[in-house]
Amino acid sequence: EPLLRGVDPSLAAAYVPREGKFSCFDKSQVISSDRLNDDYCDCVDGSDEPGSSACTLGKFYCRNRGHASRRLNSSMVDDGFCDCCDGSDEQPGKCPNTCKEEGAARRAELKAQAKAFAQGYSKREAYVREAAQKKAAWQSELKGLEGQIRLQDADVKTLQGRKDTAEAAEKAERDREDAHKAASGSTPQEPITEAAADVQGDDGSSGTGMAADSEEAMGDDDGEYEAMGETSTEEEQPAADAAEAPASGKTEEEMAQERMAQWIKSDTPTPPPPEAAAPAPPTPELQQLLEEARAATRKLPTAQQLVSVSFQQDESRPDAQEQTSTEARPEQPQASAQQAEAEAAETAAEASAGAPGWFTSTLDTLRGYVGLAPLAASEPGRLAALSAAARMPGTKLQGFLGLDFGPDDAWLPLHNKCFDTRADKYTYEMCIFGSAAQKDAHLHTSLGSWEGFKNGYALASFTNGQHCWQGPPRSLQVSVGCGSSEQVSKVDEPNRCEYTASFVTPAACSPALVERAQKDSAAAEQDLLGHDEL
Amino acid sequence: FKEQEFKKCADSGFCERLRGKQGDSYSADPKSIQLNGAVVTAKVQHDASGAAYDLQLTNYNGILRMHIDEAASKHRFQVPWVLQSELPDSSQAWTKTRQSSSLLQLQSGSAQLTLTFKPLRVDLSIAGTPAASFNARQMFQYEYLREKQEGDPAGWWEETFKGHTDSKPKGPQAISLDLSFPGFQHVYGIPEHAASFALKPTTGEGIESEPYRLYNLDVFEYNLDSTFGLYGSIPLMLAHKAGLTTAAFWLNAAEMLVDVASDNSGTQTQWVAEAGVLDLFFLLGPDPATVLQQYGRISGTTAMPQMFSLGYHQCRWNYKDETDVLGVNAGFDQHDIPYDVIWLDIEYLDDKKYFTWDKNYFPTPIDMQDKLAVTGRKLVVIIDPHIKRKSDYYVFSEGESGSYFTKNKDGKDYEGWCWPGSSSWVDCLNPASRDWWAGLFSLSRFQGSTKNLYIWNDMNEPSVFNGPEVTMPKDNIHHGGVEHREMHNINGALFHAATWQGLEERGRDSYGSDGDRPFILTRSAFAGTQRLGALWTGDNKAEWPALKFSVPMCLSLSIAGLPFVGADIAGFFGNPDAELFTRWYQLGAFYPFFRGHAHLEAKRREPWLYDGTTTDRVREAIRMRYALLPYVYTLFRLAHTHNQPLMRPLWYEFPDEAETFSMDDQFLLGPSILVAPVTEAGASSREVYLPTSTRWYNFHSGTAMKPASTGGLLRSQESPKNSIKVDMDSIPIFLRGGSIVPRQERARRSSLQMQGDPFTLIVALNDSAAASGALYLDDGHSFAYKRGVYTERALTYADTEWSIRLSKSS
Repeated sequence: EPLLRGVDPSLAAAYVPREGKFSCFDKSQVISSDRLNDDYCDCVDGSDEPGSSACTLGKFYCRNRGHASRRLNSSMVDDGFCDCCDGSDEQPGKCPNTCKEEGAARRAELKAQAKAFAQGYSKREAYVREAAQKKAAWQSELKGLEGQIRLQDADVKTLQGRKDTAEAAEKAERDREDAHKAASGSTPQEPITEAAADVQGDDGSSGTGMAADSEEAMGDDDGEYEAMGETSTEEEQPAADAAEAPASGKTEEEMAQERMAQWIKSDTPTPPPPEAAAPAPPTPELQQLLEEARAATRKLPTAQQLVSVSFQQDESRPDAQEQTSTEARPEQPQASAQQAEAEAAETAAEASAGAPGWFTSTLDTLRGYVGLAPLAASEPGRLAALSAAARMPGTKLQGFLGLDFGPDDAWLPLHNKCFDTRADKYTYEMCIFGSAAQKDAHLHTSLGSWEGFKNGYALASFTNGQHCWQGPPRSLQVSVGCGSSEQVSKVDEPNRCEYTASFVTPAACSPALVERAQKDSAAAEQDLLGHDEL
Repeated sequence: FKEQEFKKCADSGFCERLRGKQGDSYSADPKSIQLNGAVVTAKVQHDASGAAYDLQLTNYNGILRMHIDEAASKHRFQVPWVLQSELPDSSQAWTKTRQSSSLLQLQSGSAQLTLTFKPLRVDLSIAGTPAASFNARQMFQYEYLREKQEGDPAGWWEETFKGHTDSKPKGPQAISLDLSFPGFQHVYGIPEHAASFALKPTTGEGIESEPYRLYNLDVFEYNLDSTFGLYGSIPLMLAHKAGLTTAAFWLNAAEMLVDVASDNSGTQTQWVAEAGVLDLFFLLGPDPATVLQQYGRISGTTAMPQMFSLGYHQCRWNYKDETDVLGVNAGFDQHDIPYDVIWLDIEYLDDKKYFTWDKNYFPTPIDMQDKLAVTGRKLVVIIDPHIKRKSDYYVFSEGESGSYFTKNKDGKDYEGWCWPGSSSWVDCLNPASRDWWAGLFSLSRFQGSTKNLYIWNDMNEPSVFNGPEVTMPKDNIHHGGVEHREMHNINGALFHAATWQGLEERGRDSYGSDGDRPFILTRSAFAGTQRLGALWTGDNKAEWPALKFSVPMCLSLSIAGLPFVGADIAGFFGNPDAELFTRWYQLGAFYPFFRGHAHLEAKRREPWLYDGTTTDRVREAIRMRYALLPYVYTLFRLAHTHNQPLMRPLWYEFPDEAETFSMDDQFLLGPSILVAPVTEAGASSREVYLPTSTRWYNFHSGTAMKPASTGGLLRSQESPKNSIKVDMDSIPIFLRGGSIVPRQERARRSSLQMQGDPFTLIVALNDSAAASGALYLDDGHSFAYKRGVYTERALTYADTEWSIRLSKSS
């Protein structure tokens, strides 16, 4: 006997009439069997109408021979729209049967997935081996560095002694000069050292560059608010408007922008200072300044530069220089310029991986530098920084070793590796354990730095990226899955400044996933054979 | 809200000159009085200056029109478009009952009018009860147009606010009048304000308040409980007391300020408009339904909406691309939540140029609309009146070359700033502009549009980011030399009307002569907007007080003849928690216009993005709305034919229960369903007033409630505190005894799929075990009903027959 329309075969027995009656599954009623599927809802749970849309809570089963069976909400039955690939949810003749093609496609997909998962898992085993080797190498390197640090500390001590001597000498000289000036009655003047002037000039000009840049940045939020962008770029204000400018001194456009900005302000409690909030392409002037700063730094790193290097933050940036040049930062312009230099210094450090050579030369430079007593005296923190600099490679390695590389350290081989994908007009780049960014030809917008795994390694989180215009810092949450090779996809921004993406990697594969994928694939094949007829 | 950006009375010359001022004497010349059938004419003069005016009093059978103007040669602006052409057909001859040297008394039906000549005064009474008086307090002033002279007071010919100078070439031209409603303690209407429904006094002993302002403005984060003018203005005020409802409507589109004062003798009001003429309509009632019908005869009734537009609308600023739109669309199916319309805010556009698409995000808009259409869903996109000034943009170049834009005071196209940057504004006072604008909506001209695309008109106050008070300068010039000052409040409605014309023409092109009813949401409104469609209450906040104030705001609009209204669910700005979100949907399902909307920076909040229980509750609320669509649609039919509102204050149905007169925390949807929203966080109960003259049933359970014999407050056994317990699953809703409510209970994807579904009649018996209701059906989308293609049935139940009678309505 054919089943009633919409009945799940596993529930078929319940629909066999007993003395011409049907009992609602929730026992609320016993009704005459001829009221089954009569397009009138008798049972609250919908069990008397498996094949119509009469009951709100009803479920409709479609067999979908050739594909997977499916349970629909009764709202979708006989509503003129084909939901089941076998068309059984609509009246006969309304819908084509597409199960064969869809089923074949689905089976192929599941098969491919099972294969990819298996490949991924076997690749993961290689990752785990690689991870163990690399970790061991880091540890031994760290040990070696510790010896070196002791030597360098001794150097620092020597230098400190020389500095003290130089300072004492300089003080004596200054006292002598003061006494002389007091005697001659001239106005006392601060001695201006060559280095101080140098530093000031450098910072001062960098600061100006940043400020100019930020002004432009105000108007441009990576194209999201184009009207705002034009505000700064078009500058087509007619003279008449300027004449009518309100008493407050604001131009009409400025007022318009302010009003418009009301509608798109953020409610974040502590917005960053406006001059740092907006992203911007660097002006040619700024480019130039940064180039100069970098060049100077390569020649002569200052202690402050070394102090301000933060390994955690900057370690894994593959292109620290470029980022520095294009990214507006929340720090003061001056600090940004310094950081630019610092990063340049670090780039140099990385270039000589492990870097005893670099350190030697740095120390040599500084030794010579400290020999210029007045300069040393003007930079009291420099020696402490030197000491910290000596510890740099070690600190860096300790940072690496402190990271969570997932079960079996399987993610370690992805350390410092970057993957990208295109979506809309942007390229999205994600560097594992590093940072993530949205890029186009002109802009490099940070979507955040590595925060860690979440939800038991199901999510990789990047946070504290560049602030949106008057908005919160950007972030990226990446859902992680198993795959035969690394791939980023499905970048989206479901909430403003909150990005999401998918990432598959062999590192995320597991025997359980492989097994499930194989089962799913086998079940789909099995389904095709139609074993479910009871 | 930046209060200092907006004018107070003291910042406007005309308000400063006229508010609260009285004593100038105006008189009608007894010799000039002429009675000619329905029309009385007289010459009126300002006694001090001798300035002359023409007075005309016309009887339109239940409506008295009082028109005072200077000589026609002065060309004061008369508001076009609002008045219905059928109105003169209802004119009815007066019966003169008395005339002396000091007064003229006229009778028409139960209404009696007394015109006193000096000082000029009009008193109205209905069946012997005083209803309204004009100029009882001698606040009437009519600033006549004059030549500029040496020594004119400062502010007559120019005034400046916040750096914006208004050149005022016509000088002072304001009009003030006072209206008294003797014996009435409650007045309502004159939307749009975020204020209580019963209008609080603005003057009188110990009261210091700005007057109610009627000046259409785009107000960022508007304040609640305020007389501040918002996006729309309808100068209609109702006065109600037990036994009599009456109303006054001043057809004037200039900035208007209204003061309300109240004492034991009744309510006194003063109205001041900056320009225009005095064109005042008294609606004689005598009951709320009749007043609304009278107003419908003046300004028209609500358009019959398409069925889909009564379903649920899903909007946010912004669904960013086609994938996003189709993903949200699929989400509704996946979560088994019905919805009919998905919306696109300003980000879909290429460079904020209307009638374009950002091809990066919407490369195939027609495919997208077609995919939505297979399950009956529609797309609404925003189209605003500011046109980006860019020579290679066809809408701009056509507007410029056709001279379709509003002009500045020097006669050049006005330029201001809005979303696209430098923009010009379509001048919809110009019929040629309206025709041109309408043509832009044809499928052949609007690339990427399909007949499943409908429109949202925003920023039509108009909003001008760098203009005075975020709008256009008052000395801008419209078609025919009309100053913006004279027509400001109707600007948005005329733009809305032009868009309506466009969709109406498109409908005929697409569907033939029966066409397709336009759906256009507007933010700005004036009297007559009801003929065009829906309005929402603008940019509200996702906060509990905004939820609460949405009810009086919608009631005020409803009672002012604009019934297709709703507030953004669950608040435009900010992020509602699950509780507020749930409560807002539970109320919103009873707004005539039911739309979820959120700001660009608000978190995503499609109904399934909260916890599962919240999704279940919101699904339940939306499904309840869909189940009630036959009832709601039938109510719209009543709104269309008889101008009856959907959202009704309790006194509308129970006009003698004085306790309800100032009530605005509960309302009726149509005659039969009482809704008591929960507008406070953590509520475990709320007080519900159930009118005593009938019995009530719990809408959710069907349980009969027993009102106490001593009063309307429910004293049920459920709770000793005269209150109804509430949980998060629903809000208190009651069904009125004696009503039959038609429902379609099958859950569906959208209203389209419900077309063939069966009806369920909910019969709620009254004390005599009888009930009645109505059901109206048509094709749900075209104008075929105009040629009689519809079904309308009166449903009656009487216990003697134990059957339901479906009779064809008369």
